[in-house]
Amino acid sequence: MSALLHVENLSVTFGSADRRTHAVSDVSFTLEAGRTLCLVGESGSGKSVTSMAVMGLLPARGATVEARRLAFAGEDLRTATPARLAQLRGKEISMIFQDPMSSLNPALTIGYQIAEAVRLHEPVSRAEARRRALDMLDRMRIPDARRRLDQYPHQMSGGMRQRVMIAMALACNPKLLIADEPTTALDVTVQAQILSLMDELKRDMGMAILLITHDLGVVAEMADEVAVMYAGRIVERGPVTAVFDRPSHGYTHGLLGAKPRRSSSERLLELPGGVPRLDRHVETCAFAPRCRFAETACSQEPVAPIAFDAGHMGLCRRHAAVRAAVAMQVDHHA
Amino acid sequence: MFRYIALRLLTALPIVAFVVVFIFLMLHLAPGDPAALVAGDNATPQQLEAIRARLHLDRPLASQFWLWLVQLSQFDLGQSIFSNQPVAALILKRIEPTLMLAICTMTITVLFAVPLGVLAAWRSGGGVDRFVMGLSVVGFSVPVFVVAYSLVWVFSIKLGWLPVQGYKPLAEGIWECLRGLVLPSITLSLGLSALVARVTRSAMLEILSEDYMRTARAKGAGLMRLLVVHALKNAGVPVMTVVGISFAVLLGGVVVTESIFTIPGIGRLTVDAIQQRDYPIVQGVMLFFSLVLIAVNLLVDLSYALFDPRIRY
Ligand SMILES: Nc1ncnc2c1ncn2[C@@H]1O[C@H](COP(=O)(O)OP(=O)(O)O)[C@@H](O)[C@H]1O
Ligand SMILES: [Mg+2]
Repeated sequence: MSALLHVENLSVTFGSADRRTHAVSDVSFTLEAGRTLCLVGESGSGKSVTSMAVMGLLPARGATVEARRLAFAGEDLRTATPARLAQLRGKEISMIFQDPMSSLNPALTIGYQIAEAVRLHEPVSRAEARRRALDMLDRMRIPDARRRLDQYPHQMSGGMRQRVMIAMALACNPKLLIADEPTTALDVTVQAQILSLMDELKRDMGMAILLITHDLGVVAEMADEVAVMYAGRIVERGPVTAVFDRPSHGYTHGLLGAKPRRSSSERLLELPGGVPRLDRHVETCAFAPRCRFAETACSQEPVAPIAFDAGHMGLCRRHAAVRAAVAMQVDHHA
Repeated sequence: MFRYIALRLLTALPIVAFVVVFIFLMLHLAPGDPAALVAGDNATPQQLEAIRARLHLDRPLASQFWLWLVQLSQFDLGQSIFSNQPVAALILKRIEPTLMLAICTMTITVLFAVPLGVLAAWRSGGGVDRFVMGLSVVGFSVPVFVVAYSLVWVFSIKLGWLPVQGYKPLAEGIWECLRGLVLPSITLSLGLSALVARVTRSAMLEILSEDYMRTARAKGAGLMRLLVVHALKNAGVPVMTVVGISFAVLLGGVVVTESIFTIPGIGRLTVDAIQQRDYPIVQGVMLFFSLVLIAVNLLVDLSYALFDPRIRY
């Protein structure tokens, strides 16, 4: 069976031999059409770099991307020419970025920027592209869309700009939408609106979503599957219910435990302890120094992926202890 | 917009007033007898007296200033001491060559330096970038006359492609006219290009790392579209500013270049007037250049709105 997006052993390093950052190490996941995969983890864990590697947006100089497999709809992205990548971007794979304030071009009108996305990939007239842009704005439920077309980004609020970004990304009905913390900069109401909009479009168009987020509340709402990243690795991955109900990695356990009640801010709380350094390649568990379940072997012996149940895997030699602790907590609450 | 232009013109008034006063006082700020300054060391008392009478130096300063203002208000810049012709007419007669030289130079500069700066930023540290650095070293440190004579030696004397010097008026055909302007324009644009390319490069370098450039790449925009549509338009304000500054530098360069290539323009007029101590002409040319600069400044300011929609008047 071939997935829409197939990533196998993806590694990204920055810099040269003397000052190297191992931003992403051995990341593997697949994503099917019509599904949502959430990538979670504290900041600096390599979520953005992973998505940029898929898009081919990392700087050619400075970033080294290696992968056993990096394929979109069966097509190898590693060997695609720059021209082919440009064809795919915006048409088949679209991306929306974290900061809507700085991600739109301040010197071009909203209408131009959306119509451009259409005209880059489809042989339509200027007028037709503009009509499509208007259409997209309407679908994003932007009031007074016709007037908005001729406005510039600085004349719009953050929420409006993010809708414009989504309109732009979806203008050509992509098969895959990568959204890198699309709502972090927005207030809670707007955030909920944008997410439900994305979810609706996913159902209507059968689009796959790779959603990067900080926020476990968002994961619970949006994800079919979730992948937890720590220090450049996916430390646990699986169907959202499995990972939430039976976390099997010390880090996931910590994240879920740190999750505040749904009513308050749903931001992922940072765990105590220092952020790991990424300047050398490590085979042992990078989370061990901060892990309450850790034993000596954790920081001395290499850790290998372990499959738990259907599609649920993790990188934790103490997974049994973690699960036992979760089970006890559940009993305790009951 | 019109309100802004009117407002900007109003704020230019004090500058114009300052320039007028300064140019008037120029002769009086220097120590010693102004008449002797104009007449030169070997002037006889009669000559001194004549000059005093002509320039109204025998009157009180306030009344001299008043006379000068009345003259200016009638677009009268006085008469040349040497040829007795009206200065305003002399300047008008000399405007064409200078204007042509300025247009050619600015065109070459913008067409050459802006793309160069864009490419240097796109591949910073690469070949084009190093070329821009080299151009700056040459453009800023080698004197204009060295560049000019080197170009003449290669292209006019050795290769015989272009005239050594002189100016053919537009009336004798545009191509003949432009042929004569190639070397002087290149000479003048060398330093200016270095300036414009450097500023374009640094503005672009900053813009290329902006988030919206990443968005444009994520859309599937090609390289040309990225650089020209998405990046360069955002660099419009700094680039226009440095083009305006180049124009000011250009007016200074015109004086030297016109002399080297014997182009009968305003720069040449200025040099001759200074040599002959033709004070009214020097005054007139200075006033003329100042007003041109003030106008260019205003145009540059207005152009900002074209590039940056956040600027509203
Ligand atoms: N262009 C770059 N050059 C060097 N290091 C980078 C670059 N981009 C990201 N990194 C590093 O890669 C690591 C992962 O970053 P990122 O993927 O942005 O984290 P996240 O999105 O999970 O917050 C960080 O340590 C960051 O400093
Ligand atoms: Mg990020």
